[in-house]
Amino acid sequence: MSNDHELGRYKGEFGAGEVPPEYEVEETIEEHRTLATRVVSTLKRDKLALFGAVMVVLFVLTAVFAPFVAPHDPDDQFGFMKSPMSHSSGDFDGDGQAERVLHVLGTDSFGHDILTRIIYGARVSLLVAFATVAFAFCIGTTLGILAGFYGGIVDSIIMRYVDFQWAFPEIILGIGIIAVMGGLGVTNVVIAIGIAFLDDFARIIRGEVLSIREEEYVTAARAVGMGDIRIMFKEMLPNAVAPLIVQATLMIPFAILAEAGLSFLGLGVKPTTPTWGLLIADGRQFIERAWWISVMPGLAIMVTVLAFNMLGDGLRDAFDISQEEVE
Amino acid sequence: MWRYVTKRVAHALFVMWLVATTVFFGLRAIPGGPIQAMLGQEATPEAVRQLRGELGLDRPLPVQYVDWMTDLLVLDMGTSITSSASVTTLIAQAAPRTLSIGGFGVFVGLAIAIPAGVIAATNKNQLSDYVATVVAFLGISMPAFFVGILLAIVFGVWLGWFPVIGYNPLSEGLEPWLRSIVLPGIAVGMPYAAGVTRMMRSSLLEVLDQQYMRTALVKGLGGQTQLYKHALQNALIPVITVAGIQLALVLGGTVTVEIVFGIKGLGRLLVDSILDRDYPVTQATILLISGIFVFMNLLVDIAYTAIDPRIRYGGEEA
Amino acid sequence: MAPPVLEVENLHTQFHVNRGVVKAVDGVDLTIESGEVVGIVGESGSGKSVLADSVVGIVEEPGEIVEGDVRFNGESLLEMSDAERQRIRGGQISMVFQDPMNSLNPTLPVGEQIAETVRLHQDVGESVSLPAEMKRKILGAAKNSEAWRRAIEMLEAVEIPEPEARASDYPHQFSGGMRQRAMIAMALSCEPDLLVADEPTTALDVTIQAQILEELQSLKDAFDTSILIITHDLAVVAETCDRVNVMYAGEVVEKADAETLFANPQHPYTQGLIASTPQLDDPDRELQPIEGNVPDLIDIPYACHFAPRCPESNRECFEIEPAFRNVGEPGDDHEAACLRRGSEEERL
Repeated sequence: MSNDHELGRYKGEFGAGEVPPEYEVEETIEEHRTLATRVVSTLKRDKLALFGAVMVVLFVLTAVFAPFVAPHDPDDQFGFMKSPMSHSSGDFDGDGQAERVLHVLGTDSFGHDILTRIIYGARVSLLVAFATVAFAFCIGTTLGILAGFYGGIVDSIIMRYVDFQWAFPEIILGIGIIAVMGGLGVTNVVIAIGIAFLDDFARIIRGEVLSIREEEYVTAARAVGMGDIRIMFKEMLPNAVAPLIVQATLMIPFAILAEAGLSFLGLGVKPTTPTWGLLIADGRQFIERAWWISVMPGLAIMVTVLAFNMLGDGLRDAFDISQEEVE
Repeated sequence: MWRYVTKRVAHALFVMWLVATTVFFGLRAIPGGPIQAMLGQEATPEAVRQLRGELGLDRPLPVQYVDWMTDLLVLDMGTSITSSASVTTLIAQAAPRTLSIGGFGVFVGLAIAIPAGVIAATNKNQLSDYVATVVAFLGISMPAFFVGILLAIVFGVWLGWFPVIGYNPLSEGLEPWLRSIVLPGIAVGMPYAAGVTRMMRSSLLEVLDQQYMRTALVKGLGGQTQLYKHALQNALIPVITVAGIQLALVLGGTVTVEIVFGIKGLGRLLVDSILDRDYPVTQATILLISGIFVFMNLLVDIAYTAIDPRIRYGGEEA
Repeated sequence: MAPPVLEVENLHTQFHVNRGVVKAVDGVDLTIESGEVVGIVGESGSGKSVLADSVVGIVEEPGEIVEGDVRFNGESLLEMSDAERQRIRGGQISMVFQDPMNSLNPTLPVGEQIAETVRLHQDVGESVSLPAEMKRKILGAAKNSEAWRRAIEMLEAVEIPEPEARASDYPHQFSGGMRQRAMIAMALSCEPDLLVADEPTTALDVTIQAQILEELQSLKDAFDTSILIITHDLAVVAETCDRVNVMYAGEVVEKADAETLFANPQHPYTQGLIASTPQLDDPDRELQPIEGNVPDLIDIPYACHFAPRCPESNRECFEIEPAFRNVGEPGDDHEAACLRRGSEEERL
């Protein structure tokens, strides 16, 4: 190159990379944010998620402290089929004096206060939902880890089953399992729905494991002689936890809906425990005279499910997971 | 393409076989044995033996299995314990009801969801988008049977526009039939529509971001043409997936909605048979429902070939 | 004398984001005469793609052209209505993108996509709307139309083998190089006066690159089209361009004929760029990377955008906006925007 101005031949006051002091610019480095910080900042930003989180906490507290929150006892009987915001008058506590009792959400055909039953119903519904999701989580995750980690035949077999189940309507599967188990009751419901929900967890964790499997820290762990099981549970699982949490949060509303559906059909928990599904079923024959008996528990389900969905969506954003990964 | 279709059909048949086998073994896996369960209190040894013989449960397992499979092929599903009617007859009566409701629900659901999703995406972050998103959110938060109850109360009881109980078969007239399936159909279709709307919206938004939409822009294509001719076909591909998956929801929903509206469809048949321990009916119903489901999935798979040329013609690099 | 095909005058394109205003194109002048191939060379972040988008009129939200003018054959594009600009796009000014994989609609046959351009801009009596297209499909008339024939002609022109058969194929059945050729066919189908090619070969294998560039050259002659090439690859520039503009951080810093630029680069940035490019015919030469990073385009506080990375910068460089001056040999039409270059009197 023939030119009389080769780069750098004439040095300036400020060399390459040097800047007069008044033009100095701070470099901003993106900080690494932990899981917890991300959740908190998402909740602060996303109003819907925050709303969901608050509602969820409220529900859980209500369910746990039901006896303290509920105005009455779920089996107490007052006036029959009272409409919402009305009163029953009578001597209900056996003290010889008549009281006026307010029924915020009305009473049912047996005179039970609906608000009370809904609050107590929250206990069972949420309990069953959490137990179901926990059950599905444990088994599904184990299956998924095994499939992803070992690959080959193990993977094929497990994934075939999961694929088959994944496409199947969950309620039908649940009903089928209940039919086989031959009885009603909480345990059966948990197992039935839990099995129906396995597929989601299994797929997610398998996907994560497949991508983590080749990471260096896994190879390192193996090199040090860590047993397979330890690797799976101590190295891989903690790193794959985020989408699992999102999935769990999103599955709880499904579990609530599934349990409600089963109970409504009469195939769920035993008829004495008031779960929301049963409450709705109770009121079905009275929709002409006392619509609130079915509608109130239904609204409760709706709000709860909505809250969990909002929270789950927000968490999904926080952990930056694409829509396809988590259904 | 035909290779693809054949593969899918073969897969569907395989799944059906798997289900039939599972049902076969499932029945015999009932704790205490199905006979005990069925007879309950009256389980005297003679009664047990007799019922066993009737149901053919005393023969060796492989024989039973072959019998079961061959029976299925000729659609002989035995006799109902409770009503002594042929199971096939019972199912033939119940199935059209379920299918009507489900079909209506899917039809209405799609008719609403796809335009709603498109509108939401093209008016992103404006009022119509928010409304659609919120309604969709609500839709997936309510179980189908609850929607059914609400509809029954509002449109059946209060407004009296539609019947709240019962089903009018098509053979008795188009209008009564429609009137009896509108409410349950919508109840089943709403949660379905909600899911599809969300997918349509997000899929379309993603497609609009694609490079080939820029190409269309640069060619000088107008907005409408771009949207319908270029974007929509691409955006519908994942929507079909979701529409197919959600059909499971519709089936599940129909089962519960039937109870709400007192319609004697497959759902009612299934539940009653379980409570009555009428196992031949239970078996058959589960099989049929699975069959419907597998068939629907097959249809969805085939729909893919119509929409996505990448499936129709496998890729080839020159 | 006919007006230049393209005249860009003092163009400023900015993006309003949360953090501030990104001045992607910060005062750029550019001219393309009829039949010329002009290149814009720059690294990522130089604003070259935004410049291309601004010319074609497809700058995306939240960007907008805030100052300056773009004139096409003498007429101002910015003063036209949206509808008029839309008519010109695709017909008289067309564009080819970097990524052939995703630039074609996967669900329409390639021939159809080319035919669409023809139908849109040329008077063949066929509509592009969806109903019209469906009618054509149903009646089986798609393959018989004038536009389709033209599409096949174009595919032949870009040397795609068996064009009649290939036109019915879908994009995923084409290889990367062929897809880019199809894009070019589509872009040239209406014999535009100007073709804007944004990194046309970046995503392709090296051997295919050479073919495509050759293709562009011969097509340019055949269709009498001027070309504006955007690239970061000096080799592409050396191969195809008549004139070159070097861009850095939103500004053009040097303009010259391609030959002159490579023989006698003047602006410190250009010199740095060339010095840091490996050259096959001089394998032992030491590579000299340019220190530092491309600046954040939001509110650059100093006058010459390159000053912080320039080894020759003085205080004035940070404070006085460098104007273009003649550099290099006289009569070369070679300009650079640098206070430390140019004739003795001008140089600081």
